[in-house]
Amino acid sequence: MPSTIGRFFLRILAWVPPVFLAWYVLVPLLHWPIRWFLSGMALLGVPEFVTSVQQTLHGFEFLTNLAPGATPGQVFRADATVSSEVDARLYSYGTALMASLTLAAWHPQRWRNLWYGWLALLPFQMLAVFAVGMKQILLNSGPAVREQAAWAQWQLETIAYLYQFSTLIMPPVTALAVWFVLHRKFVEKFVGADVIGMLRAADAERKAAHAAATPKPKRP
Amino acid sequence: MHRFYGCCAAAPLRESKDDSLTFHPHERRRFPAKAGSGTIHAYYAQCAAVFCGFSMVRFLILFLVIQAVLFGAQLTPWGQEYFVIPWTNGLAHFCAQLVALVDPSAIANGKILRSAANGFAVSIEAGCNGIEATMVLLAAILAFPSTWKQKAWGLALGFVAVQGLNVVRIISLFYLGQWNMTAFEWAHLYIWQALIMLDVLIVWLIWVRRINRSARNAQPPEDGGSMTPSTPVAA
Repeated sequence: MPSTIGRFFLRILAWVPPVFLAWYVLVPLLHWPIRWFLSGMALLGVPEFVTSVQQTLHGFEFLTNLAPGATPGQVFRADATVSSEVDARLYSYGTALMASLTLAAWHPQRWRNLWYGWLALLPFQMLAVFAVGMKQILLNSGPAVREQAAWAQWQLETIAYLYQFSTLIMPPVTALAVWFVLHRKFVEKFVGADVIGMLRAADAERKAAHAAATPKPKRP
Repeated sequence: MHRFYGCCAAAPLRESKDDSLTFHPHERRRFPAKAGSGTIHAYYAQCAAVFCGFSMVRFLILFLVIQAVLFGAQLTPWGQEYFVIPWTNGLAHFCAQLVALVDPSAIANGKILRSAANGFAVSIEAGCNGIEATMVLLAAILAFPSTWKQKAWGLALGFVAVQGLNVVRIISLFYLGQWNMTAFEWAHLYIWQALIMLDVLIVWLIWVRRINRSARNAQPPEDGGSMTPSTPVAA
């Protein structure tokens, strides 16, 4: 186990290339649960215009029953429908980051932590892929498609916000947060104190202050 | 004598013998309450204690809320026009000036960093300007219990660390793209994104370690702070 933050950082840098390479190869396997989830949502009709979700080599394809609108320079068949492909690697690389950190920390229970970390990150990755798929269908495919879907303006705004948040912030931040929670004792060594313990101590101070500040009820 | 400080967790802080108050390093400095407002303060304190009951949950909620608000604010047309675009343009020009020290062909045009020698250019888009990483650090520091002074120096140093590494990212991508586009894509989409957030984590951990140290240094000894001579004094 690394003893200083500098050594830990160097170990992360050493682990990043092989782990990201392994993740890149294993992406179709790692994305399986996301496919089940998205296919399940499509089966339940959430959202109602997605008929099925198929897994591709690096991501997912959303098939819909929405007809493409008239696009200048493009001719569609009468039965053409809109589909959208999402490269899920852009939203799931947090798994590789979390794995690099876990292996750099070399915790005795690192394999268990890798497994838990992967499971913990899946919901965020599912949300990201869903948001990106919806954004591509509803915001990039033109007004005719949007009208068929009949989503309210606030729903479109939410999808746009979720797309931005899922792309720019969520993948690395969730990976770091999950790793942090799984390696609390390891982090404690660098910080010199338990961070969550520090939060609790601050909370205890507030409680003590509150108890002292509240006047005791007078007996009748 | 108890003196109440502020509305949040109205705190009677440790009293010394001369009745002057000493501040705990984790406590924020608050304005003293006016005399006679004890009941109102007790009510506020009760509300605060209910809300702040779960320290970890409170930290996480604050972290997420601050982050979501800042992220939403920078997405607004006002945020883009007055903050994001000027910042990104300034970053491109700064990077161009740095690169020009060794490669005079580098020029900046708006948010685009271009090589006049071979025409290769990189456009600094959202996610590459370091604003998101800085916001994550800002949210983590603001949400963690500490004094405003500690937050201020943490933010100042963190800002320099994140933006400094981001300049390295942009310049490295500028040259990586001229060498190999596959390597550029890999570094751009995965590796640098991860490293920048890793930088945020390391900066935050160092900051927490520093405030923890200063808290320990400021704590009185176990015996209540009385000065005990190491050798017995002769009667």
